[in-house]
Amino acid sequence: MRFGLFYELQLPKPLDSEQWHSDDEYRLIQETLEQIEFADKLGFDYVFEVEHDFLEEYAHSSAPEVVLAAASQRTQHIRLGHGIIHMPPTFNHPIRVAERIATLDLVSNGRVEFGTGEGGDIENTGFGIDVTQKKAMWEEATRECVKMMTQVPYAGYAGPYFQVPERNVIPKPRQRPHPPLWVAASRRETIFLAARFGMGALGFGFETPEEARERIEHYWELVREECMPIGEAINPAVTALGSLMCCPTNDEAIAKGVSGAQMFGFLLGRGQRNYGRDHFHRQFASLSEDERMTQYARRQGLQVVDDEPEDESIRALYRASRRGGFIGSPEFIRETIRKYEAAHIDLLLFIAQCGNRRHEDIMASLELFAKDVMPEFQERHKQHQKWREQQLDGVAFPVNATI
Amino acid sequence: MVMAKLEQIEDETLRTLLREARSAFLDRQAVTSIQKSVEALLLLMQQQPDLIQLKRTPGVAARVGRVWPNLGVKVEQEQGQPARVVYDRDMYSLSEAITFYEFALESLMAAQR
Repeated sequence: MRFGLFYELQLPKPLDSEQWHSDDEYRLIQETLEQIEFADKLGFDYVFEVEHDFLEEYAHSSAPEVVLAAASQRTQHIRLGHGIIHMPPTFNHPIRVAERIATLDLVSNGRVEFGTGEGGDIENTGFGIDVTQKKAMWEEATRECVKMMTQVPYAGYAGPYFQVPERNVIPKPRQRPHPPLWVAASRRETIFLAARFGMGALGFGFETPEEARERIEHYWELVREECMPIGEAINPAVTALGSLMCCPTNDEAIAKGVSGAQMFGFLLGRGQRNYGRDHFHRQFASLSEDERMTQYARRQGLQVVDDEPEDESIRALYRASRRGGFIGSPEFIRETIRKYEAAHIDLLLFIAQCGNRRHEDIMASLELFAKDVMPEFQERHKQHQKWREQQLDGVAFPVNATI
Repeated sequence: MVMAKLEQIEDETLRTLLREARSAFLDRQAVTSIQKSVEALLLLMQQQPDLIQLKRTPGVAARVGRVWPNLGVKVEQEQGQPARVVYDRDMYSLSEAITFYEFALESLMAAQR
């Protein structure tokens, strides 16, 4: 199993002010780069960064290509993942995506993971995109973007969502035929779409190990039996996501980590917004402990006590707001990871930076995790790679996964 | 949770429709595939009207229960009238076809539970 960090660049507003202080965003970016640099030294394998627009407090990460480029110059080994790029052409024209991915791949000496997705409703409507067509736009743009990275010259294209005449799109990426392809997969149907398109599934649904096991089994069946690759090489891989705070004791981890997880879920679940005027941190701070875990579901009319919400999207938010299996002592976390390992998850991605967690606590957590949790699983990774080879037996497509 | 598989659908008509939907998207016939999945879903909704919610509430990220995929295929239903499908576009993508297929498959399995 591989390990990575997942960044939204969360920035709650200060409780004593209506807006952020002038250096808050500067500090956030600099601390993030420090964390990524440290994670690289500690042996983390991947960092993925989101692309989100307009989602105040939740994600101040609208230009991940810049942060990842900066990270590439401070790191040696860690893979640099877009998690994800919004592919509808009005967001990011496919030519510009191909150029940026290739350039980042050259700048980083071939360390790019090309994550793709559709974007959320607030973002799509902000760019004037009809949300009912975002999936079709994602597919068209992704399919063509990969060709732009591989064809000399790119033959051109005239489709419903963009048109390009014949041109040679340069530079080409360092990784050939192209960097590994991923798609955001918050729901089960997207995981199976990923399998059929030969893409890695960036699982953002906070799946349990039991759910992960069943989905992974079916994912690999589909890779073997129904794969119609969207690119020239397939990247069969499934990730899971969780909130990480590793401390010497469970009590300390809960004290330092749970509030951040709750705030992550709270911010993720905000539907309507008053742009520039909301103060979600204050709203969150005014909630009781119980409300912090269930507020989102209650807004949907659910009385959540023990039962989890039926809808996958709401369930993910509900789980995001809970302690989960990665906030605790090294022993507690190891126990959880063993279950994911048994389910054959390829990559566990951790939200370390979220809510109002302190930079110092995040750095200490990463260090303890790397020292006391990671080695056991790194030692067994060869067994997992062998299992993957068995799954790929008979698959005729080229594979460029980095697991 | 048990992973939904085509062979597990007990109703032969629904199973056949979804098998055709699957064959169609594997042949890259997205529109045909979506039509077959939607046909199966309409039959299911006749049997269990509360299983699927047709619309999302504006400004709310998601709702309780299964929400009809917001991909340019609408089901309009007036009281006492049979449901009517409205296709917003002439062309649909493979990814949309696969999404409808998986949504239909999971809904049919949920209806059997």
